[in-house]
Amino acid sequence: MRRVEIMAAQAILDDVLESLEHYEMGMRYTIIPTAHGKGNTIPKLGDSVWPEENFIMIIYCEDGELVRIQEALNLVKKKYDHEGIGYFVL
Amino acid sequence: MKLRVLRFFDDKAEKAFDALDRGYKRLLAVFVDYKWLTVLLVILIMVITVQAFSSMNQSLYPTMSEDSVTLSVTLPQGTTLVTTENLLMDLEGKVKNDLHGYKDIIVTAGGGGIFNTGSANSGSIQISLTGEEGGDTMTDVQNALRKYFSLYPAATFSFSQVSMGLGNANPVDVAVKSDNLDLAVATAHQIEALIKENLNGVTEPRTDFEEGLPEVQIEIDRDRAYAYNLTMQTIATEISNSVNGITATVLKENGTETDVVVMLKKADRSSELDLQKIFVRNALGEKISLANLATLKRSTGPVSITRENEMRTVHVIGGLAPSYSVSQAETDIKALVAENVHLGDEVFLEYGGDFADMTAMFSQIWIILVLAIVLVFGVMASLFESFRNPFIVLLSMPLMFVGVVGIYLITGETFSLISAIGLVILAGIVVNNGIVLIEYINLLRRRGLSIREACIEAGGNRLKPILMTSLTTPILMTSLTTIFGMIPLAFFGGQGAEQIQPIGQTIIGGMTISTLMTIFFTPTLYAIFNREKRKKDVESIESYVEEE
Repeated sequence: MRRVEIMAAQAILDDVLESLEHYEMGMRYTIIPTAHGKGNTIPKLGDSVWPEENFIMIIYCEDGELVRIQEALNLVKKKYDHEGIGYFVL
Repeated sequence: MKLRVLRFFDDKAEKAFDALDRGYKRLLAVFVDYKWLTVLLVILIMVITVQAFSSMNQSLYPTMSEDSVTLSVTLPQGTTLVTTENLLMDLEGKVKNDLHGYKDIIVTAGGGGIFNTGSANSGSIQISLTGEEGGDTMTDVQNALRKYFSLYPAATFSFSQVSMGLGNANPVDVAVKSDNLDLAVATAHQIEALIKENLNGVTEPRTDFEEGLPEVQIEIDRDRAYAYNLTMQTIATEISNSVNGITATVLKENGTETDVVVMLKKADRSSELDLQKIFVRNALGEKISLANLATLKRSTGPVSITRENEMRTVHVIGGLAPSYSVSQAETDIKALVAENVHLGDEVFLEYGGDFADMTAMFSQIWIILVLAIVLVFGVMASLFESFRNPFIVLLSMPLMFVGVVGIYLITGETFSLISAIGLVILAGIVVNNGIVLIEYINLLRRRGLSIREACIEAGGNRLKPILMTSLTTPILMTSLTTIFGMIPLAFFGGQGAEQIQPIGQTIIGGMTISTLMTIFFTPTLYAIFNREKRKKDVESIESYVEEE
């Protein structure tokens, strides 16, 4: 069993969910809808200077499913090449 | 296929906008780098504008065209109705051939003006126009009539307005005031003659002074009258009965009543000599001729005297040709009077009409403008939570005058009270772009950019959405929509549109230039008035510890 954490802009949450569904992932996840942070792209701090915000999605899955998750996220990345999508596996 | 064509245009447009954006950023960088030179340049432009404004034609209200022209004609007092009618018919016959496209002409003799408050010596010609394309306009008809004025030197002509237009019926109005009426009248006539001779732009100059009616005064020698046993009343009654007649009785026949009037024959009561031949009978039955009792004297009757502030006043009045502005007329008349008329201590002049109204109304409009600016400043100060940034926007506000003056110079229109109302409207609109720009520069600075970078980047970023899509509130787009929206109002006039056209013209001129000024000058001003942020708290604590 692995823990997968996905962090990205709230704006692309729907695309991430759609993509995961497309790659037939069992839709079991937890979402922290509002998260603030700074990464490689523009800061998302939810204030008047940097108004955008992130979400954090946590998925527990089997090792075999990791590949599909990665493919799903690649698809989203292709569509939004300027958006940073954080993907960590523990 | 369609899509490909669209994509082609989209690509081209995108490239053009990119190039515009790059060019703008480069130019803006130059302005921000040489900020003091830029300020100097703008001050120079403002000075030229103020100079141009003071020499610009100004008037109270724009001339309004109407669908009818009314010419009032006044002949010297005592002119008979027949003479008046002949003159009017003659003038009508002459001018008829020169007119194109009129509905009808109404000639009124023995009356005149709007309310027909005239006597036998006045009348009017009213020409209704069709208002069709290619037909004569109000000005054309007036000019056609004016050509013939010199043929009738005894007559005084004036055009009166039928509809309720704004402004005075007589834009030119010089009040000649004095306790000495003769002197006032003489001065007024002198000024009238000077204007008539030298200023073609003042149409139909005349005075409002009415000469008295010619009359015959009968001066009775009282001593002689009493010697003949005659009273004044007897003499007066006899003259009245002889000339005016007396209703001796009323004949009643089948319900109709007919007056029986006893009077002298027409031949016996039509000249001065006839008057002298009237005989008055005294109590003794003797008949005494009037020549024996009285002398006849020709003179003029009493005139109407107008008093203003207890001073006898005669007005020299006149209209203005469309190309001749009130401000110009006032300067010219003042110069003419100063040069040619010696006023002395007894007479003084007051400039009324549109001159006086314009001074009074323009000063009110300026107060309104100042109030508008104060309110706008208040709103901006609360928005920016600072006094400095609204001040930057306010500083770029007077630059709207450049565009306003520019458009009036190009179109050749006169600056009127309506234009000033446009200015007040403009004061509220032109700040919008400045507010958006400064707000964005502030945001970029909070995101860590230096002042120079923030100014250039904000300008560039604002410009692009302006022309393309709306990411945020765009400057050029909002400006263009306002300007294009005003074009029909400003340039496609119709009958009566002249009165509101200046609002549109003012907004178009002001918006165009102030948009340019906002995108170039506001960032420069921002760079002047703002300093780089002070050290952050952590750094100040560090340096404080080091000093310890």
